[in-house]
Amino acid sequence: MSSAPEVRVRRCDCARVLELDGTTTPAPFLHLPRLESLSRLEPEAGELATELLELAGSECVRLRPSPPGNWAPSRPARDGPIVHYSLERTPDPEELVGLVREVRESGSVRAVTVLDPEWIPLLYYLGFDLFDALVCVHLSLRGEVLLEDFATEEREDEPSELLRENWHRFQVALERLERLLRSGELREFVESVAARNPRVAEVLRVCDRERALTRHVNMARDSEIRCSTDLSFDRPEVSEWVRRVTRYRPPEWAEAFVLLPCTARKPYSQSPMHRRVSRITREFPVDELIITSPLGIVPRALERTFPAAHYDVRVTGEWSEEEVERVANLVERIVPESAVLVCHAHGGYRLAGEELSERGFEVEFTCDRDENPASRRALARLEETLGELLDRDGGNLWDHVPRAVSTFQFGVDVLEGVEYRFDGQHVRSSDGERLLTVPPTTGLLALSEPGARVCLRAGVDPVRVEEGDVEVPEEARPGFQWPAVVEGEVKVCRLLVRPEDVPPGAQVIELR
Amino acid sequence: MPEYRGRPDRYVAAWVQPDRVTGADRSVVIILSTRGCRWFRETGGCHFCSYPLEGAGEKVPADLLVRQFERAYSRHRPDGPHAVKIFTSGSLLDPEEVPDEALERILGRLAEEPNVTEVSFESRPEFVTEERLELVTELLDGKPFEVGIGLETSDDRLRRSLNKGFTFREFARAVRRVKEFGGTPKAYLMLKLPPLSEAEAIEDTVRSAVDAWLAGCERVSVCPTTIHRDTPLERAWRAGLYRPPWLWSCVEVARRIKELLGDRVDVLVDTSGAGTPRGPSNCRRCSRRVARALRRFTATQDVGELEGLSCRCRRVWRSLLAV
Repeated sequence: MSSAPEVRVRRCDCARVLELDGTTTPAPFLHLPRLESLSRLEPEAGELATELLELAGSECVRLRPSPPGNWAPSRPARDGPIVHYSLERTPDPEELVGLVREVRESGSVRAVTVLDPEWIPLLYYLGFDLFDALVCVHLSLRGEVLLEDFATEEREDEPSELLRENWHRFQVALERLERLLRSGELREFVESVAARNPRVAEVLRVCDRERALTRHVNMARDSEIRCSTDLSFDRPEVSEWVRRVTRYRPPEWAEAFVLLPCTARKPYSQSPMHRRVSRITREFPVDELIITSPLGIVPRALERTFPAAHYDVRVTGEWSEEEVERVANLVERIVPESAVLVCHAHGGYRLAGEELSERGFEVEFTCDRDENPASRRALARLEETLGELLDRDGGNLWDHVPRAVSTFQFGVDVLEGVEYRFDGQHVRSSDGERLLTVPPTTGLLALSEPGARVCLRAGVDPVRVEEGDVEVPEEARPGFQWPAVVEGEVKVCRLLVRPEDVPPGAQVIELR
Repeated sequence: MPEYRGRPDRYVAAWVQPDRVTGADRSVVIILSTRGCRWFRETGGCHFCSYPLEGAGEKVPADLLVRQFERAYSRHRPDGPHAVKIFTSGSLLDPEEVPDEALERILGRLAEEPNVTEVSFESRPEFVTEERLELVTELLDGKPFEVGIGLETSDDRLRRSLNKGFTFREFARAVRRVKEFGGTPKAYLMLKLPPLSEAEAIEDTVRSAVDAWLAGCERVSVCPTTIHRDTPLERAWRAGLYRPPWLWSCVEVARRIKELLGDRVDVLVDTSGAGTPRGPSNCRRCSRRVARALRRFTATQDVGELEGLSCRCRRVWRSLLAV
């Protein structure tokens, strides 16, 4: 590219959709110096490359990267804000993930040359934006065509015919990645590629383990997340949930905690089992914690918050040690040591209660291993146990929702000490002013300007805009609404992307 | 802090190799353990190099350096005519690295050896000064000598990005000086500097060889990259974002330079690390064979040695030239 393109951020959810002078990423690019060099050395490939240049026309970003002032693995060559990388051999997963971390703090647009198309979905997911169309030349010379899922298939046609087809298929495949990202299904797609390519799976696994993408995951979503494989267990949405849910503080009036099994119906409270259970629990001063995998624990007050109301997991009834431990660890972080736990869960769910009992908690079991928690006998036992333990003086868990979400989102309970009314969707101050909204879609907080002021008073670190410079607090994630102080004025903004992830000057917040 | 692996009282390595040098067909290579390259110490060095870590890392006094040399040389000295290459993983001409006293005794000793046909050493261009060359020529007393300088590429921008720390003009000036004092300058060229593709790298090295020749070098040593430990390049390599060149590229470069310059230059192809993941390689079937052919070519300068090489992986290499 001759002049620096204007970069606009359309969406960030691990991967990004950027707009560069009218090109929407993920998009193909061509590395002109490399093509020229190739043409001089290898006429046959060179001819195809020239043909590709013609075919691609303006639908391809043209790069002339050159060495930077100081070469670094994370910044090998660049053309304006676009940094060019080349995947030349099978990566060591740890090293690649470490590098991706640096790359994502380098404020750049990233182009990558990779000739095995199977790596493209993963690289897109990791934050690369542009993909070398040279892969079309490469495949055509090898007598292969690109398939929709980034696998390839052999063909006997002439290379120049294959080139046309590959170019077309390459564009379609990249467009598909963008669609998958927008619909929230990119991760599942990457997992499906990982399922057939162990090298890809290794990188994905390490990336999850090292939480390399959790800063860039978009939690303000209303799409389903499907956890079908072991690879889903620590996907960024999940580890971000696990990290944030530990901040949950039960309502002050809660004297005991009922552990319940999750249900396929979301939010859980709409399932017949939970409805029956709640008819009993609401009579008592108890909080409810739902046992689930891979999220671990979902407090009732957060059951509508992404991804609690949005996940679907394979259910086998078998609980791994890892899963049980995750539940127990979270409960341990959330409830006070002296609290009474009532485990109203059957089958594998019960293991979590048993583990907690072993860890020294006082746990009452009100449901047998092979009993249906919604059965009359089990429910009667629950009611009896609660009656023995507590007075019939129920609190309202629903009122706790905005406070729970606030802690989850901002790390601060912005309603602590504030008098408010919550009607299930809106939080109003005592004089009727609307402060916050909990939309049923994402279950995260949306703010009004008075709400933003409430947040600031409670100590939420705002997004600061001063003389055009944007400073975004660590806790903010793409998609989150956040209070902002813009040149001294309190506003509400939505974060589009982490600022360190994109070139300086790109718009990273949207003012409401 | 980087860890130096060498010891002040022990040379790093020494061996005899077949070689193409003035008046002999083999040479003794001796790598001395010194405090290491000054550029490496002061700036962290070139992004691809950790040779200095093979050395002692501390100032090595003259008598120890001389003793290292004596041990290595007496152990490996051949009976017939031979050349001697004294390398230090730095600059022999840097007085801070190799004190004058050591230089005097080592070079003085070699000057007296009738079987030694040439003395070869390496230096960064900033140490190739008239004063140092005067000392060297005086000590060698008419014995032919070669000064190798790691130019890597004639492209200043590329060289700067790898923190090499000197320009082509500075290199050319050093070459001129070496010639003025009757020495043979040699340029080391690194094949496949990041971020070049295989094809770009081939062109870069061929172009650089021509430039080096124009600057006065009649010997160029083509060094395909090897991955040194604890370097930025190693990180890129581990992350999958860099691969050393194919041996086919080495063949291509040698052929092209010879095609362009013929007997006007000697082209030496370094095959260290060939066939290993950290060095230049083809497929498992042919890496050794092609490396051997490159060594024969280096010894004879006969391009015929490189003809007729073939393997199934050659097609793969051709299809990957743009990466």
